[in-house]
Amino acid sequence: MSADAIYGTLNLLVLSSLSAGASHGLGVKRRIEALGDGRLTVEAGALYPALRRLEGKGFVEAEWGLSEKGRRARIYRLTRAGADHLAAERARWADHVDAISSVLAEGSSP
Amino acid sequence: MRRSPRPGRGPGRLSETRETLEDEARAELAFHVDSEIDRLMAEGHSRSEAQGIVLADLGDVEGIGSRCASIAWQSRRRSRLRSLWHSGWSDLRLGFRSLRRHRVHAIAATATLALGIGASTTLLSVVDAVAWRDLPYPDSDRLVRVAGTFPTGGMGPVPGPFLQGWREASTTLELLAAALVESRDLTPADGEPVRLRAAAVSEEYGALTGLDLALGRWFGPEEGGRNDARLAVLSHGLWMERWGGDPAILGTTVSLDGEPVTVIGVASERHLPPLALNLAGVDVWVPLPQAREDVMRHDLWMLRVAARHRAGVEVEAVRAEVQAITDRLIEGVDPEHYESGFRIQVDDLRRNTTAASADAVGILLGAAVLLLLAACANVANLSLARGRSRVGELGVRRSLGASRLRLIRMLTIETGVTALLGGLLGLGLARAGIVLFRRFDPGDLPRVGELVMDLRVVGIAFGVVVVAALASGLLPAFQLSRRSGPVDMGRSTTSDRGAARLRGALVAVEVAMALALLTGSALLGRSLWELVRVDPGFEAAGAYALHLELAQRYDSREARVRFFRDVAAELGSVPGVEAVGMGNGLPFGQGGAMGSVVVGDGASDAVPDYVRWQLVDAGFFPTLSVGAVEGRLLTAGEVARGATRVVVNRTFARTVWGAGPAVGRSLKIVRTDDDDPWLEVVGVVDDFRQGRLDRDVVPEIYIPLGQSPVVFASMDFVVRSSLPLESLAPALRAALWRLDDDQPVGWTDSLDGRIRGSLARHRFYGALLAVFAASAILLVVAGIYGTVAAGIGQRRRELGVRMALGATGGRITGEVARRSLGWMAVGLVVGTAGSVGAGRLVGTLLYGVGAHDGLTFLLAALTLAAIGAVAVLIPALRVTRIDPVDVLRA
Repeated sequence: MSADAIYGTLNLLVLSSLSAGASHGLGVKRRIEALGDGRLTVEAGALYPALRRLEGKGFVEAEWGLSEKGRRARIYRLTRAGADHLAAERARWADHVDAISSVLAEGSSP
Repeated sequence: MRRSPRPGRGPGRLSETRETLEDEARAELAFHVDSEIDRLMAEGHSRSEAQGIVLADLGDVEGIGSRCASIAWQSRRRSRLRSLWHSGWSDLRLGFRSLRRHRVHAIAATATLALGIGASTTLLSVVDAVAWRDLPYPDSDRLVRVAGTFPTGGMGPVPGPFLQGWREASTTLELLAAALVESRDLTPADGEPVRLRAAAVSEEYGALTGLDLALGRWFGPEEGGRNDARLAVLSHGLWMERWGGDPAILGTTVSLDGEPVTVIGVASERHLPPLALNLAGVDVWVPLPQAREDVMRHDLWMLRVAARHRAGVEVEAVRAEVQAITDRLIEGVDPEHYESGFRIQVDDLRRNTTAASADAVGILLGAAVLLLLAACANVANLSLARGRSRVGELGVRRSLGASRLRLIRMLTIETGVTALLGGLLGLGLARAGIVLFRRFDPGDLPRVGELVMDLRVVGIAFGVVVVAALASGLLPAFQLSRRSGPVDMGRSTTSDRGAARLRGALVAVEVAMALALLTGSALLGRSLWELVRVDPGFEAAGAYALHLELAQRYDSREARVRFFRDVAAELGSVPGVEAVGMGNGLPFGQGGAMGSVVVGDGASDAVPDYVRWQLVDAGFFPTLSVGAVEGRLLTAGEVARGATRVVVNRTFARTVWGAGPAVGRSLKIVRTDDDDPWLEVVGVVDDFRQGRLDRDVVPEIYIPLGQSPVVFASMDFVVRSSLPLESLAPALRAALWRLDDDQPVGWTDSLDGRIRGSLARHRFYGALLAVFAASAILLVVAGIYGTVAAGIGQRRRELGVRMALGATGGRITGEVARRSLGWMAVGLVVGTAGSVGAGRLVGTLLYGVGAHDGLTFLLAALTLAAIGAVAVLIPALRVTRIDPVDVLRA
């Protein structure tokens, strides 16, 4: 998958990863890359602005806390509004993928 | 209600700057970098290697950081706006709640605002329509009236050659329009004939006034100059009235003065003919041919001229040029046509239109300003009265964390809601006021037809009152800020004394304004009282007038006299008519003539320069119930044969012959030729008022109808009857039309009604000022009552303590009352000074009472003082109801 295609869905991935629990930016990146089995790379230059945007929309909130190594880190947490948004977007995404798959499956059969 | 989403940090922290956001973003990325280096080093890389990998991976770290900071900054701003809006909404609800809680205050404030805005908007709209607004013509700032003036004070029309000369030679004027008002009889084949007010106008009139047509077209340039152009443009009113607005009228021929005239257009309903050209109420426009013989004579001054000067030219330059052209025109013309000292005057068309109504405008403006000030004072007063309790409430809010900005906003909204409600009500009042004003048009104001509610005027009135409301409404917030903290919640402090003084001063202002209005209306009331008691000298009740202007076919003296006599006889035969008389002029109407008189016995020195004289028949005096005080009245025979007899009024006899006898003396009216006959005085009639009740009777003489070599085409008939006018008038008209069914009747009315009409102005302004004075007094009562009651509320604790220590209720009441009465006295003094101004404003309307009549001034001041005293005492007496025990326990 190309980086461009991911960019549009980055918000969704970030929210999804935070739905597993609060985390700092680096944690979010690692979680996504781990779950994607190394097929997805998240650029820091895209991730941090995305987090800020989501914060501005009220989907996540941030607080300064400490990392597992005792470093000061900005910890993001999914808000109620963010969770609602994620649920809605997930459903939409599934629907979308389903539709595209159907079309592609049709095209591949002789 | 949906809770607005909040970003990580609440919107309350306004201290976050762009820099702290940058620092924060850098710190966040530093964590990222450090953690990644840790991981790589754990995987076996050296620190410097790890650093290189991480930084290469991240790319532009600074760039990412500032992008994050910038996004955060944007969303902070958005959310702050959102929260401002959010809390603004809650302030609005709070405002309404607070108004509901303090219902009396809210109603009083709203009513005051409505009254102030409504009344002053009405009057300012009138003043605007009358005096301020531009005339409704294109380039109205360049329009002037060009008139001839004489040293005797005469002013107005000019002869035709002038107009022509100006047109040819003037370089400062770009457009000249002339008008001449004439009567034309519209004689339809079927239906009643009607006399129209026709304006013969030059073709430029259309361009000068920017005349809009509802239908058809205006005269073309070539048609205006032709003598044989038989064209007419109808006024909208005439078109609706006579033809029901039927567009088929275009191109049809109507009969004007017996001549066929083609209707080519109908003026728009909006068109208002220039008053400076004496064109008010014109029914029809016809072309004014430049070659019309009577217009082009040097001895007939009939044309009224309005013009538009070129842009950038001063009016004075126009005047000088027109004067110079006129001087050249006069050269070589028989000098007797131009009295020495004759000048051309050029003045601004608008100022000319409104100059005569300066008195009325003064009264209206004065009343508007006085009431507006009183309303402002009252609104401020009400706000301050609540301010005391507000300071406590605001203190609590402040201590619970509300910012000062927030408090100010809250108060602004509260005041704003009141102002809005009051303003809307006020606009409603103004609308009604304007309708009333148009209905009871006092008759002395030009351009009332243009009267509409003007947004600029609404803006002025609204702005003044709302600023007053806001300024005073916000005072508590500033008072609060001057204090050290929110601790005070019920004790009086020095700043309260300042506020109390301010409120006292405001009461004084209200009292002063009310007194000026009250004195003005009292002066007018007394004047009206004097006027209605004036005896007109004739029996007005049951006397009706019928005015006739003969059509042009009655062109000889004999034909006119014969027809008039027939009409009198025919009117006398109408059932219910007890007596008939005629004269060229009836009391409280127009008519009569002015002339030079000499008397036969050498007493001519005592004769005034100009004496009013009129033609009468034998029925004139008996029908008016005017009797002879010396000698006898004219007989029917004398009138019929034109005997050289004359009757004078008492004032004439007194003025000329003093206490001596008048009967047997002789006099003559000097006309152009020397062989005017000597007339013998056969009687002196008692004085009766012809013009106005508020003017002295002037010397007059009455000549038998058949005596005069000239008999004008117009005549006034007076009949006496016990029938009401409505049933009598149709019978009178029918009698006339039995003689000539093409002869229009000018009008019929009652002399009683004429007298009443002559007082309409006095009555109107008297009523207007009375209503305004009553409103202002209402404000005063509310203001005083509120001040005293609030003052007692504030000092409740102190007063309670003193009563507990033995002060009597009466003593405390006196003390409370004394302070308010003192302020009221200040107001009365200032108001008396204001009354002098008010007296001057209404001065020209006064009769039988001086503009600075001491008794009226005193009575007005005493009335207001009495009303004010009651308003002070009612709340002050309640002091005695304070229970010291309650107070001390609190």
